[in-house]
Amino acid sequence: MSVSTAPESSARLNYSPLRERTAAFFGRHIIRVIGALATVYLLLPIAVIVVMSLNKPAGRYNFTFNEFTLDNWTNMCGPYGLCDSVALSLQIALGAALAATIIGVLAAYALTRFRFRGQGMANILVLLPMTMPEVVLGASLLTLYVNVGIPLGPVAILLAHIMFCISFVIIVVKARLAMLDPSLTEAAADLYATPWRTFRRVTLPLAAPGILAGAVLAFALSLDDFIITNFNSGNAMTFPMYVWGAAKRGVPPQVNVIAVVIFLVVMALAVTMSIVATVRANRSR
Amino acid sequence: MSITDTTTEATASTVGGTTTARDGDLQLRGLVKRYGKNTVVDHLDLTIPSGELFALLGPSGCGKTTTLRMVAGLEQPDGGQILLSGTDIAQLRTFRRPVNTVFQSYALFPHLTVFENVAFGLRERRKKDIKEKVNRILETVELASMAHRKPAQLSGGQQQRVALARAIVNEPQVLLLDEPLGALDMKLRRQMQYQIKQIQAELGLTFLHVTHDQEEAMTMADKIAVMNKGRIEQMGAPEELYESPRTAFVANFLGSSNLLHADVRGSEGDFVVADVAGQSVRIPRDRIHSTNAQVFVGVRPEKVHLVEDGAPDSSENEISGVVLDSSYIGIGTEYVVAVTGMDDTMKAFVQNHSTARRLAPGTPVKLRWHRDHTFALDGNEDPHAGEGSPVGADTRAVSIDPERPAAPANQGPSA
Repeated sequence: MSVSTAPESSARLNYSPLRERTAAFFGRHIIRVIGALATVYLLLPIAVIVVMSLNKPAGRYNFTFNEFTLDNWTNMCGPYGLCDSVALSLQIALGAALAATIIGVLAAYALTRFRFRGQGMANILVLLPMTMPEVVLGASLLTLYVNVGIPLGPVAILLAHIMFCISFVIIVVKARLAMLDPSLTEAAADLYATPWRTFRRVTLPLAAPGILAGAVLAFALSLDDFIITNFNSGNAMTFPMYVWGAAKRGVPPQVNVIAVVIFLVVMALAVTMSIVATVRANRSR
Repeated sequence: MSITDTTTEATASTVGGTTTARDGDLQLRGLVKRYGKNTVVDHLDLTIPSGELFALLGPSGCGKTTTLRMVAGLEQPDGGQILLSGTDIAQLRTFRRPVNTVFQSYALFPHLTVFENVAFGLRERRKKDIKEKVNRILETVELASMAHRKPAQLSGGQQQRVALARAIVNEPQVLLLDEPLGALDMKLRRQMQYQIKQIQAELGLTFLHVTHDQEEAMTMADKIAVMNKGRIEQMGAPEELYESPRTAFVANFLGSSNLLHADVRGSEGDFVVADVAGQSVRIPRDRIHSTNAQVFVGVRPEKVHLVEDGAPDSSENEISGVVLDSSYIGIGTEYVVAVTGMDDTMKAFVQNHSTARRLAPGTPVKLRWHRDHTFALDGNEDPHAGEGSPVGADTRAVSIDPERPAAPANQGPSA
């Protein structure tokens, strides 16, 4: 552009440096504002749980902040049956995650690595429990247990949880296995590894992130399942059922404490894992 | 080494695989592989002598990779034998076979370090002195300083060398290389061709190298088997295949050839006389690969030179024609000449070492070449077999690189 035409064209464009700069500022910062708002939206309920765990309720209901106290934290197992229900939930979640992960990994391996008759059908059938409404699943499980003669209680709950967790594990592990280059297992076999050694030394370690994710998902799903459990629990009481029952009479603030503890444990695990991953990446550099 | 001798020798070991096996030889006998109705490998007979760098060369889909995978145990043959030192290994499971593979995709284990990748096979077989062996082989491929890296932190060429080291550290009876250099750029590929050849000579292992790159096969291999449609077309040393192709496919796939319709008229001492549209051409008797009186007379474009006048030397064949077209390609000029009295054209690749002007289209010329460069193929063959494969064209284009030592493939791109 030649010098003589410059002022003329800037006049026509109605150029204002201030407005340009303001627009640029918003362009740069608006995304941060939106991000911050979304984060607040996600974490606000958790913040409320934390705050209310430090409350001394005025009446039966822990709905309004009355007075700061550490009593709930020092007397976590105060309310009758609360800690027993947490212990039962943890046991069932651990058992369900373990069993569902083993079965799910084997199923995912078979579905990705082999060709067999009815494979397409099998691929759909294993996902069915996931798509079924939980209420329907719970009710029909109850019918099944009663007819077969399995007593309602912890065992019945565990069996039900394993069942619906398998689908999730299969999905996650299958996605991971499908990403692996099939020539890796061929290379292992070419390098004298038996099928079992190939699975141990190549497939399993490479699928580990997917397997871990599947296991964590299964644990979380089992831990907070209420609907299916409610149909089949008999006299057993899991943590979600305790909270549901207590809600009618007023939820004790210790429930918030338990929730915060779970939250802290999960946070600690996540932070540890990311630190480990960073250290490993740095070491191999 | 005369061409006749090696031809007979090659024939003996190709046909029926009847030669007695030496220790370490890999013999394929009547090997068959079908996918549904499609026969990919069709009663293949091949002997790969111990200690040689042997190339299996062919266009994509010719069955060469399937053959290699059957030797590795990654595919199950539908028939035939795979003999290693005389023992049939066709039924042995992959992990029991004393062969190792360098995969086209390298297939390095991403979760293991370079060291552990290379040590994998040794650990599976519970070998001793693993550390020593791995370090020695990493020295050989110049990767000792990378031992603790993960494959993802290496360049393509380095990954290729890890794949090579991981296989050869096991000292396999046969090393199988499946298009090992396909993913590398041209310069790196040249370096690796040289390095692989050196390592092979150093270790004295048998290498079976599968490739579609005719130039790579000719540069590296002691012996080449050209494969087409599941069968071996011809086997022999690179010079032998190039100088005296037995089929139109080999004549066109390895470099390019002029193939002219001709009729055999009689013989004259060690030569057979054939008639090409009224012009006589002499062909050495041992370079006739036809029992038919109708033949294709063949000559490589770079053997032909063009003159406008003067009498031919008594040792030369001469065909007259008219220049149709010419292309200047730096190190040479490629002419297309219409042969007088027939529809066929001939290509002549002329080195640019004279200062003479380029011959204009329409100029009447004589095409001359030494009789000993003439060969003859069966007249029933398809003269265009093996032509126009995109890969062949690609590698020919590359071979114009003037820094390369003059190889037989060093000619212009075919039309």
